[in-house]
Amino acid sequence: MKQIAFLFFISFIFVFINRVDAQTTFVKGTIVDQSDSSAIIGAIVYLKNKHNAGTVTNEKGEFTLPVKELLLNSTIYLQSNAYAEVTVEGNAYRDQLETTQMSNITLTSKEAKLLPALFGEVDLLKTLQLKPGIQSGGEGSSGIYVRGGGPDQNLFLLNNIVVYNPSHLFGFFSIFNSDAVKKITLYKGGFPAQYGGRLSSVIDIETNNGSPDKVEVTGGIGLIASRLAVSGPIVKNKLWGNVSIRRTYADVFTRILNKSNAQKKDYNPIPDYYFYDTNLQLTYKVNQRNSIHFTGYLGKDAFNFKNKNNTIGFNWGNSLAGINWINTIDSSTTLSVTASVSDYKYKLKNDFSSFSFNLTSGIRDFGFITQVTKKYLKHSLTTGFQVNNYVFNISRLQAGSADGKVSFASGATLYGIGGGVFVNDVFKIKSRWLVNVGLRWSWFYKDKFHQGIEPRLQVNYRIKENISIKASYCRMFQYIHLASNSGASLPTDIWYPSGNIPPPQVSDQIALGYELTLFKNKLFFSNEYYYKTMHNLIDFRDGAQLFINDNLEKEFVIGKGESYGSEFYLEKKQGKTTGWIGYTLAWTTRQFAEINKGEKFYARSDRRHDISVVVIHKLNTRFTLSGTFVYGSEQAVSVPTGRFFIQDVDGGTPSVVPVYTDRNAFRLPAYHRMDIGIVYKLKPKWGAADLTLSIYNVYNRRNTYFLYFEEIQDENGNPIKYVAKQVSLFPIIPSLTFNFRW
Amino acid sequence: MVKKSFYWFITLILLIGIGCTSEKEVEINLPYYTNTPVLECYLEPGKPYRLMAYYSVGYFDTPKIQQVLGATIQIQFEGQTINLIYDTIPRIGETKRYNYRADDLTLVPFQYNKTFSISIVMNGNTYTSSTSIPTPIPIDTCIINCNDENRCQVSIRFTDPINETDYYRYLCIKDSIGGEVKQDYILNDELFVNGQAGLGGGFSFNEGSFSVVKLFHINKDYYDFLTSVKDAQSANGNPFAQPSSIKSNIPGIIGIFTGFSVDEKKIQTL
Repeated sequence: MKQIAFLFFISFIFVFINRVDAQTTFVKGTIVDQSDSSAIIGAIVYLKNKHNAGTVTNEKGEFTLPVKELLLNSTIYLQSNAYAEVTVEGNAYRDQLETTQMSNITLTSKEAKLLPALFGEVDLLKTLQLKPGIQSGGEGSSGIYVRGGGPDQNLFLLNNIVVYNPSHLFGFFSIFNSDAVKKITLYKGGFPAQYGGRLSSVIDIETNNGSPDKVEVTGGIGLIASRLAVSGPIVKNKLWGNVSIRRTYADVFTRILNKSNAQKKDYNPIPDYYFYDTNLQLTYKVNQRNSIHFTGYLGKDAFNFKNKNNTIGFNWGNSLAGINWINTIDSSTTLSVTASVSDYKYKLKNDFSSFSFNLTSGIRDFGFITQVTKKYLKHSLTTGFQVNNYVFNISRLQAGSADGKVSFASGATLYGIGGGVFVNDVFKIKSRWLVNVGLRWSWFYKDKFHQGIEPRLQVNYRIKENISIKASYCRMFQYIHLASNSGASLPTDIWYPSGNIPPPQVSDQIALGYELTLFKNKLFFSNEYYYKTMHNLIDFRDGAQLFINDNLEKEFVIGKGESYGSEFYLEKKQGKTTGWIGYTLAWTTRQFAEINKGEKFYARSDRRHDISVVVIHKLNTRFTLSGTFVYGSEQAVSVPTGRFFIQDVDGGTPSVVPVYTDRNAFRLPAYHRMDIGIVYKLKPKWGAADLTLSIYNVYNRRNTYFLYFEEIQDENGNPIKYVAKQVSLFPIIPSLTFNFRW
Repeated sequence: MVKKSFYWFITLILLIGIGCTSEKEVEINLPYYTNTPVLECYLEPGKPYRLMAYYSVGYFDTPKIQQVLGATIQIQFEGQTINLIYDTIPRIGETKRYNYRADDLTLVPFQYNKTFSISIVMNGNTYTSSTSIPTPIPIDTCIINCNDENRCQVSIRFTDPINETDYYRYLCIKDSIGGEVKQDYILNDELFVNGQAGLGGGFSFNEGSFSVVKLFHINKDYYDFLTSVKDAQSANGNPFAQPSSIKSNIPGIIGIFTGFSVDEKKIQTL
């Protein structure tokens, strides 16, 4: 009876759950007297069966209770004048409903690790592709297309440092090692004003900082790669960090094979290929108000081939370093200053007999960004500026004969500088309206000064506690462009600046949507409608030579595009069974005067319907099952509709020439695939470990990667007929990964 | 032995994993294609005026060349009009087929950088174009390198005129009945430094075999046509390539009307 009385007595308990890192969660709350709203001081708060791990409310009635795992709907005990128990019904979607931010997705490394992965390699970018509005660049690719944008229109930021090529192995894997990454936030629209430089998305990657007081070793051994990460204090609670390494090892076996067969006369050596990623994160806590954070990344893909006559070396990779100073000026003001350098380059070297060939291209970006956040009673203000200094190395070629009598040389080094000044204010109008208004002024100089005003606006109208209506508008400018006509993430794609040609790309996007929780906050549903126009889009004239070309300006064609659609998202985060269902209905078109006779055509990424279903079921404390299903309706591609026969000059070879008419006028068959995964937790004497089984493409669907046409000949070499052939990439692929934590 | 088998096994798995592509024949319905005239006419000094005119067809149509019939074709040069009439009889020594030609005694003159014009009247439509013959660029030297496996590499050196943009085609052909083309390069002179130019390829010939190298000095129109043909061909079967339209220099139809000069050498790899 006494307990019941107390329950009435403390009728206001404001609890929210704040997740700080993968292991520690804080339950925060305030206990007040219902009768006069005065704080209950000194009440003891603890979790069931955890009497020793409790806490006490302070003079404001506030408490912070650390818990090991995110425990929603669990019981917290209170002890004050009387003993009571309260079931905390946390709302995992509270922040999402409260904020003005829409068109964003947050994904943690821990979530991604529960899902099945191609070759067992957990890839956060591929997991993002399972969310509505984000399409993959093709079977197995980690490239992403956001709301009709191109692959070059995504801004990848690793702790505020720009990443210029986020892919390994021609896009089949991303460079973000799941052990090094804590979480990824992707913005599809409604971009905060501090972000700029790309039209379609911002992918903000936050690394795992490590623990200031505990050493931890994690890692995994997979089918194609292994990982190891060590984190913890160097000086306890003063200096701590995280270092992680991932490397593939196919080359180890191919080298042994090549060596053992080197004496065989007809043996053709197998090329070496490997990639690696190295991440380093350091945090130095200067004092209570100041901390310094260092981020480093070094990654490389290497392809090497050598036989008696020919040596080919093809390497590419990113090198990143950045230092970030965070100064808490007072309880409401924070200053953040980041200086960074990001470098991407590829190098292709070929020596054959008396000739050699050496080609290098790349980009180096020296960046500086400073940002101040100030919280007032009714406003939250963010302002700052950034400057980037770019060096573009375009197709630096050295080639020639060993005797020096013949030599080729080309290449250009271009310089550009750009930046932005931004201000963002979040404020409440009455109790139900929250507004986020921002403005960014961006600029870029290379031969010509370009600048643009980028207004940003987001509004949240909270109809009810569990329903929000949101709207946003944003304008984005993009001053550097990826010279690629492949539609894929190739290492030879190079960044090229705006100058006289091409002008900066510009997009305007409006979005309107609503979000709500259902069944006592157990389910989250959102539905967004968007319309985006894109101007000064770049493409390349037919037959453009992008490789070994240091003057790309004459190859560009300038056009426009638009994209519109609707995205539906239903998610369940709590309970034994979690997951989501996403559906996107979208249209994406392009128009260039020089392409498709100037008529509008569907972009390659145009797909009318995209469906994704993700289910994770925790069977018991040791087994977790997961499954994903994706469906994408017919993708637009170009195929030749006609052909002619060219007999060529004397000495030349007669051949069939395909005639391409309308761009992307043909549709490939629909894509669908199901993957399943099982995580089995082991019970080692030390730490924790698990075995993860992934089965990619479980029903062995042969999806079309591309089509080509072939001439069928008789025994005399005369053509009989022409046929279409479909090429598929990945059949059913099981893989097993051993993961450990110590 | 076990160790070796293990490495083979691992490599096999990796290769299956990474290169586990499969392909199969599929039936597809292509959009409707309108057959378009195609014309190939090459003017080579000392050779007769002749050309091949036919139609492009839908990709899955019967593989049979549909010739253009009843066309009126004229070439004009320096006030002279050369009529090309329908004639499919092959001549001795010709390796290609032609269906319109002038008389065998009227040869393309050794006149460089002068304008030749063509007019084609067919199905009530008239198509015109013009071209010239670039000056010959001689092959300075042929270089042969042989490796210890008795395979040989052939390369040439020549002098590229400075202060003008030149276009070349290089063919290296095995001198046999089949006449297999080992190298076929189309290029401009942007990469050549100080007029020193060299072209060559891999170890494609057995020691002691004969080969023919041909250096064509070509026009930009022909360079554009050839590169667009190569691009279109490589786009078929390449998922990373963009489709490429054919750059014809005869507006209204697909085709090339061009002159070129050629220097060739027959060499034995020793």
